Amino acid sequence: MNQIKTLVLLQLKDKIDFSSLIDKKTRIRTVIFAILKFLIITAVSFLIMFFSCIEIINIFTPFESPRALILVMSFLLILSIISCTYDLMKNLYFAEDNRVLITLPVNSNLIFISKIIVFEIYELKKSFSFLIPITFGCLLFLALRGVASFAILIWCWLPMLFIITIPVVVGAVLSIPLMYIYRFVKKYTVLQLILFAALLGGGIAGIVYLINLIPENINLMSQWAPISDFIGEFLLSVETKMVPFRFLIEALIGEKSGVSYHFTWWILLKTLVIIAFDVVVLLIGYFTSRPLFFKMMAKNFELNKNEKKSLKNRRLSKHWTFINKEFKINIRTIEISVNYLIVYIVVPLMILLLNALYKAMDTRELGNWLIYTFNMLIICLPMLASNALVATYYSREGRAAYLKKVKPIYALYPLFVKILFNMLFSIPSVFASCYIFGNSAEINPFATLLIAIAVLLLHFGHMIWSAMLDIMNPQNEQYATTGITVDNPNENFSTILAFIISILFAVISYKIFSEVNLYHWGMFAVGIRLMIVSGIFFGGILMLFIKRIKAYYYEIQG
Amino acid sequence: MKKSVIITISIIYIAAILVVGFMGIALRVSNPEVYINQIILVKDENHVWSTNKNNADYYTAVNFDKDNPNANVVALKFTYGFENPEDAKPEHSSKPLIYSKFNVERDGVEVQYAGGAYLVKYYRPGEYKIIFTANDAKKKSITVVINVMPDVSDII
Amino acid sequence: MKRIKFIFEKILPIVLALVLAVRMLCYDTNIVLGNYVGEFNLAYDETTFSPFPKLLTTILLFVIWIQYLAVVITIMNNYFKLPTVKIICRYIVSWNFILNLVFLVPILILFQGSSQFSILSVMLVLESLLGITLINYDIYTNKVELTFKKLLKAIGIFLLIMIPFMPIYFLQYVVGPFPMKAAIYNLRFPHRVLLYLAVIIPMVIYFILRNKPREVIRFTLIIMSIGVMIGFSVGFCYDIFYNPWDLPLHLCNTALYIIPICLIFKTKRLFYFTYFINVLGAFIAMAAPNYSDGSNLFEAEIIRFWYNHWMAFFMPLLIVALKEFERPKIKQFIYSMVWFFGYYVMVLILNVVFLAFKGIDKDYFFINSEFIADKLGKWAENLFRITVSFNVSGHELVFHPPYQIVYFVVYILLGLAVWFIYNEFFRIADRHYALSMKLKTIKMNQYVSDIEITKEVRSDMMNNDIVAHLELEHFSKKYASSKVYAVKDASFEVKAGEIFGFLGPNGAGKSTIIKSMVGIQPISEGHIRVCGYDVTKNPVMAKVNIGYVPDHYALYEKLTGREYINYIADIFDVSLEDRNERINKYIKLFELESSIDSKIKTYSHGMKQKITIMSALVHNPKVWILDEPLTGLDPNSIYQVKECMKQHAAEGNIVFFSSHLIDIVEKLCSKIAIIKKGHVECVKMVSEIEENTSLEQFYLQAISGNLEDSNESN
Repeated sequence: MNQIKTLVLLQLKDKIDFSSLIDKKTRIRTVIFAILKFLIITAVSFLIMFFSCIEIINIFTPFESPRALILVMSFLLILSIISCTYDLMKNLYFAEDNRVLITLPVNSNLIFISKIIVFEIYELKKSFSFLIPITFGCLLFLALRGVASFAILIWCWLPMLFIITIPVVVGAVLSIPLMYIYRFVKKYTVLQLILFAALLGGGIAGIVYLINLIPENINLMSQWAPISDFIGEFLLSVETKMVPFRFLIEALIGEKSGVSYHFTWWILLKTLVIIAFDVVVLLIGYFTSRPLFFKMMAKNFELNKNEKKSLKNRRLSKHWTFINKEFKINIRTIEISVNYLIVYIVVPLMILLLNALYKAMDTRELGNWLIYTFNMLIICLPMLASNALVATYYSREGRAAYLKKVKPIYALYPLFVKILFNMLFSIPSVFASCYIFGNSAEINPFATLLIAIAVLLLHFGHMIWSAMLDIMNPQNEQYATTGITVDNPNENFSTILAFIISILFAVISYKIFSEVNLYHWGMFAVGIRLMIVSGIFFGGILMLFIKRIKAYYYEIQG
Repeated sequence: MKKSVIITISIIYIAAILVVGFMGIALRVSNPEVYINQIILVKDENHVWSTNKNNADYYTAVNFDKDNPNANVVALKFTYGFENPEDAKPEHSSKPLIYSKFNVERDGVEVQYAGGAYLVKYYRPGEYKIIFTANDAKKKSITVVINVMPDVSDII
Repeated sequence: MKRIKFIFEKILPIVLALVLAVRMLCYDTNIVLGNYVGEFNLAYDETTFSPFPKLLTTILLFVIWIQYLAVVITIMNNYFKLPTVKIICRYIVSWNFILNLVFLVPILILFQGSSQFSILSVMLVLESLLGITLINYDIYTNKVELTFKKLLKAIGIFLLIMIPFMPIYFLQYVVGPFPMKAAIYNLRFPHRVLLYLAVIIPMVIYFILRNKPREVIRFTLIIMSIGVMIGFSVGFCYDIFYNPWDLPLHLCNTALYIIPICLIFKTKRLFYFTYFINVLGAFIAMAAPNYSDGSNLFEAEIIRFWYNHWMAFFMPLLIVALKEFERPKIKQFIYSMVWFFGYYVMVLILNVVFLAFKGIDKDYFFINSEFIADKLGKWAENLFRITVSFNVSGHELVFHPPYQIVYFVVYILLGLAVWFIYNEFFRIADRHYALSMKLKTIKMNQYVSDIEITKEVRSDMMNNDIVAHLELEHFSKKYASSKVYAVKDASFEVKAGEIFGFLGPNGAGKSTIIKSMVGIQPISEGHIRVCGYDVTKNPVMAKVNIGYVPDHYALYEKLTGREYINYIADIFDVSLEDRNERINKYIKLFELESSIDSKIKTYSHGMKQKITIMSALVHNPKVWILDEPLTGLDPNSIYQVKECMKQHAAEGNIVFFSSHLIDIVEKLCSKIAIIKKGHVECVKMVSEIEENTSLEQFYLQAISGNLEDSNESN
């Protein structure tokens, strides 16, 4: 028992930051903030339930509101199960602290139990941020509206504790097969790529399908009744089909009798069932992993001596070699490639959703101008904000950065090549976003192309500016010694610039779009004007970049 | 991207939707103060509209086609119920207006309301004055005059 | 002689200026403006307003225009010794003085409606005669060489400085209305273009003038400001003295007169009033113009508005940017606020008095009307409506105290706010100036070195025998932020085939010297030559011959060892055969067969160091520089590296390395240098040292400063 306690405390100290509890002042502040956060989320949850029930909106009646709670609980628990499974897999079998724990004079089963306990504590802490206050808000509403008894507000903490444990224990069981699948997939890069592409493609297709379901020209006011009916029917189907989750809710609020829920002895029985479920699943997990745990944990430290085939040397021209090197480094740096992927895929999806929602609105002239403006803003903002990473590209090289000065080639070209891939990968994203925008707003394709080029030039200009910030004020030493920077001033400045430039561009776009009827060439003239504005910005920044490198690069102390 | 940046962008995104939702929607007034103010769509190219002629808000002259009785129709749509006429679009159908009632045999013209448009069917040459009135307290009206000229071949 | 000089150089120019001033005021503007301007509509027929045919009237108006410039430039010619100005006076404007006399009668008819003898006619004649006299005096006393190029330049400059002098009615009369109606308000496109010009024009002028001598800058600024003042003032005549309400007392109008006065007489306190107050006012006015019909670009009212406000907006900023007046400090701000207060009170009273006594609603600075309040909203209008009135001799003087006080305070605060904006722009301008100056210096060096490179590259390409050689000649290095030299006056030479050991305690300057050799840091003084190429002048050729191993390996960890070495080989243009041979050789030597195709991230410290060494040798450099290469290596690796170094030197190359390991240096090196606190204490052959003592002892003596004693004793 003592051993488990020690193991748990050892891991807790590492996982959770207790520094705020040392100082009395910070302790009080932390507690107050936590309480405030809890109260705010509870209040928001309560208000959402409240407004859903008022006559004008009328999504459901107070007595039907537990259905919403079932839906919310299902969603959050399923999400939690998925994340717990993955996190537990990482934590149990791939955590760095396993190297230390495995050397301690304890049975590996105790390590397993301690890890589960630590994870449970961590999950409980996380639940206080979201799941618990949301649920509590709903329960408060139910109690106040007489749907359930006030006693549930006191009772709910007990079953809640065991409900939160469900994802942890389920995750513990599911993490075992997941770990094997993970290791298998990791062995074969091709499989990883296929899986990744399938997930990504599937995800995008799914999102696009959902977005396309939004109808056009919704008149929320006059068409509200069928919409609210639809929502009501959906909630009813949730109540009838999501039986396990309904069970959990009934353990919280009581047995349904007539229209309301009564606090009876059945609640206690249901809670016991939940506890039993937790225990059984935990035991399954424990006994399944017991013979395998040590082996599975240790195997992940073994260095795989793969017999690598000896490759050939390849000669490339001076210019191609830089491109080749940057390409390889970009692809192999997870942070950078994920950034490309996320931003450059998410932005077009965001625009698709935005325009689908706009199409659902019946807008007047001012509304149309606002739509154009906000499209410009929402395309530019995340694209430019992602350039903050560019403001760390050169510093990331650490000490390798100043070797550019040692090579017999003028540094401007290799410096520029570093951002070339970011530029190339952003082109499809910008064009896709602008195409979606142009299509929704019924702008002619050629004008859309010009607008896309304008956005692209703005994006490139900001990218070059961010690169310049990093080159002129390098943080190489920080990256060389620690591998990361805590607060990179270049990154912060680049982000601020991104916001300023995007907003300015949006304001200018508004002015230009609103004059479209005054131009003979309509949207085509708008495209040209925007291109001129962006072109001037891009040209100016590029010139400054080249000049600054020429003048100062070789003098900057690396 | 930093968490704070993602949150800020999300807030701006939601604001973008809300601002257009609140400021950009074509305002449909449930009890309109401003009424019928113009014809916004005339289906037939044969009808060239002018205003203020013969004390009418809209006036057109057209030839009567006795060989093709189905051609002797004018479809009219009105902007109605929008604070700003620019907000009205052709697909917004008019709320039914009160229009002058005719006896087909006696008057040679009839008016029907179908699919958001008012169809004025005329059966013989003559000048037809139709008054459309808003169906509310203010009762503002528009006068449309269609001057149907006899087919030239009849005279020759 | 002195007296004549005094008359011609001091008296006559002033007389000429006075003549111009009197002449400008003594015609009836109504005739001029009525004749040339009138009701400006598209149907108007200009021939009815001038008794002469269109072509002649155009020529006359042109002569009138150039006459203003002629007089001003002739006066200024006395005070500025600029050859181009002299050429303009002698060969261009002198003709206009003559034309003015030739066309005197028609000009008089245009100005006053008849050719009657009048003060105006006298002044016009006097002007031309004085002008011609002064120019002749200048020809007599100053020699100026005229070439075709100089004349062309003078004509070009003349055409440019003509522009500010254009009378506001000129375009409207000569060209007529602008072909299309332009919306020059509400920030519509034509309005925006004029706003862009308000920024573009001063930027162009700044870039042209910033490298010019002070005299040229001063001349240009003065003539521009006087020109606009004159072009604007053609709308006034003597009756402003009877009708003071016609005085140009709007804020931006005052700028037109203050700026030339400040420039000519260098009155700083008055100047900063325009800097802080006028610029802001002009900007606001340009953004929200108050002309009655902003639809025709050539209309006199529009041209008057834009010339006035451009000048009021950018001139003070341009003057400070070109350092004619210094950047203001808080003292100047306070002075300007005092001036502003004086101006404010003056116009406040004048507005009220003119309205009460004469019924004229002049509304200088828009403080006595709702013009601004209208744009701000209901709250401003409500504030404006709170009035206080006094009855003086039956006339009611109406003030709006809350509105006027708030207006004053807000304006001051805005002035303070824009001061920071100006400073930011000036800072950016200064930075760009420094950048362009820096580039100019580099360009000059580059030009020299480019030629040398081409020659040398060509000869070297034909002759593959570059001899390994490394030389430091009085090399010194001072870091940017420090006053102390990191290395002072270091000189030594390393010949082919030598292994050179560089010894010294931590912080002595070893790494500084090495980093300067390889090009990581610039050199402050002296020269470093690698194989005859100066690392500053011929950096590319010098670096081609260097292989560098830094003290901390600096690698791209995401690449494999092979990929990294190939990358370096590509930069040094190593052929495939050569690199295959060398890479395979070193892989075998350093026992990296199993890991060469793994990512560098997975390598141990020793393996990374080996990869660094391989990459430094793949192009077989003449000079191999290593900065403490043996730190952290296991004995086997140390042995391998030493063998490499020996072999490389045996092939006729140089191995230059710094180390703390004295016994290795002793066994390996043929020559050593010892550096202490930035000074090279000695450069000696190891064999010489070992005749008397061990290297270790020698080193310790050198570091403790006993080296000279021991040398003496020897």
